[in-house]
Amino acid sequence: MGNMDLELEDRLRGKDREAFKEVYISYREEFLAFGRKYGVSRNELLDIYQEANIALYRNFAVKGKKLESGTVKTYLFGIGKFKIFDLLKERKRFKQADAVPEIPQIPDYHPEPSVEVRLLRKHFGSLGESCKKILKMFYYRGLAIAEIVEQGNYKDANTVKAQKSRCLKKLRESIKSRTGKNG
Amino acid sequence: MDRHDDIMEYLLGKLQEEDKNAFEKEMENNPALKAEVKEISDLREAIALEEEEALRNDFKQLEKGKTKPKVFLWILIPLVLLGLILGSIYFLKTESQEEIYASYYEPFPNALHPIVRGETDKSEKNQIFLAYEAGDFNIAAMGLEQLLKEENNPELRFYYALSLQGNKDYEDAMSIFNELENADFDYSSHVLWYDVLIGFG
Repeated sequence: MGNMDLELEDRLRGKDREAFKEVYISYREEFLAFGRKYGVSRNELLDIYQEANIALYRNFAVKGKKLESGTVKTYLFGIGKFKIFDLLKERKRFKQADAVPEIPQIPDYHPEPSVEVRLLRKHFGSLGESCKKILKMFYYRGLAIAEIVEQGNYKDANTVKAQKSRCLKKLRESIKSRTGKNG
Repeated sequence: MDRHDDIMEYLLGKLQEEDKNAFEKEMENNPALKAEVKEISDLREAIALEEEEALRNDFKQLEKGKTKPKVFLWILIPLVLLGLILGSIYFLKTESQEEIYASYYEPFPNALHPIVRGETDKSEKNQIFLAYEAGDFNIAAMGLEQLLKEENNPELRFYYALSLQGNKDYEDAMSIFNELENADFDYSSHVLWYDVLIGFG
C-alpha cells in the first residue's frame, strides 16, 4: 500500500467530501466495465456503484475503518462485487453448471436508523447553517475547541462553547415542541 | 461536570481497552451519563445520515455532468469532422473516397469488454472481444450476432456495427448505426462519426 493510498484513507476517515468524490470519479469507468462481464445493465451498475461508494463513506467516515490489507480501490470493488452477486443471486442467474464466483467477505453494513435518530435527523436538518456547522464540528468531526475556533473563524473558546450550547438547546426544544415530550 | 471530552473519546474509539471498559461500567451506574452518551451517539448518527444524503447528491451531480454531452457538442463535433472530410475532398481532388475513408478510419477501441492480458477466461464474450481487438472483425461480427440473441443492448449493437464496418459490410453496419442514432448509451456520441465515415467506404 503506497503513501498516496494511506493519505487517501486519512482523508476518507477525516470525512473529506472531495476525497469521496475523487474516488467516485477515479474508479467509475473501470467498475462499469468490470460489472458488464456479469450481464448487469449500465443503470443497475451505476446504482450499485453509488451504493458501494456510500458504504465506503459509512465504513471510513463514520466507523473510522483502517485497512489491514489491500487498497481503497480493492475495498470498494469488493463491496461492489458483493452487491452484483447479490443481485444475480436474486435473479437466479447462477446455474448449477456455472462456476460460482468466490463471494468476498461481507463488509459491515449499516443497520436501519432508530426512531430517535430519524427524528434527530429531521430536526437537525431544519436548524440554521451556523448551528449545523458548529454541531457537526463538535459531534461529527470530534474536533477540539481550539480546532473549532481556528477552523470556524470564531472569536474565542467561550464563543464556541456558548454557540454550541445555544444550538443544542435549540435542537432539543425543536424536538420537544413537535413530540410534546417534557424534559 | 462537563464530560463532553470523555464521551467523545469513547464514541470515537480513542480509549484504550481498559479505559473503555471502565467508562462503560460507569455508564451502567450513572443513568444521566448513559443518557448523555446515547443522545450524542444518536446526534452523530443523524448528522452522518445528512452527510450521506449530501454525498448521494454529489454523486448524482457528477452523473448529470457525465450523462450527455451538451447538445451543441453532439451537433458540433460531427459537423467539424464532416467539414474536415469535405474540405479534404475539395482541396485534394485527386484523392478517391476510398483513400479518404482509409485515412480517417480507425477501429473504435474495445472499452466495453476490456481483455486482461494473461486472463484465462475462455467465455464466448472474451473470445469475441479478443477477435475484435485483433482486428478479426468477421469472427467478432459472427460472435456478436449470436450474442445479441441472448443479450440485446445498444452497447453490443454498437460493437456489432463496428465489427461489420471493420469487415467492410458497410450497408449492414450503416443500418445498425442509423438505428442507434437516437439511443442513449455510453458511446452514443460516436455513432454519428462512424455513420458519416461509412459513406466514404
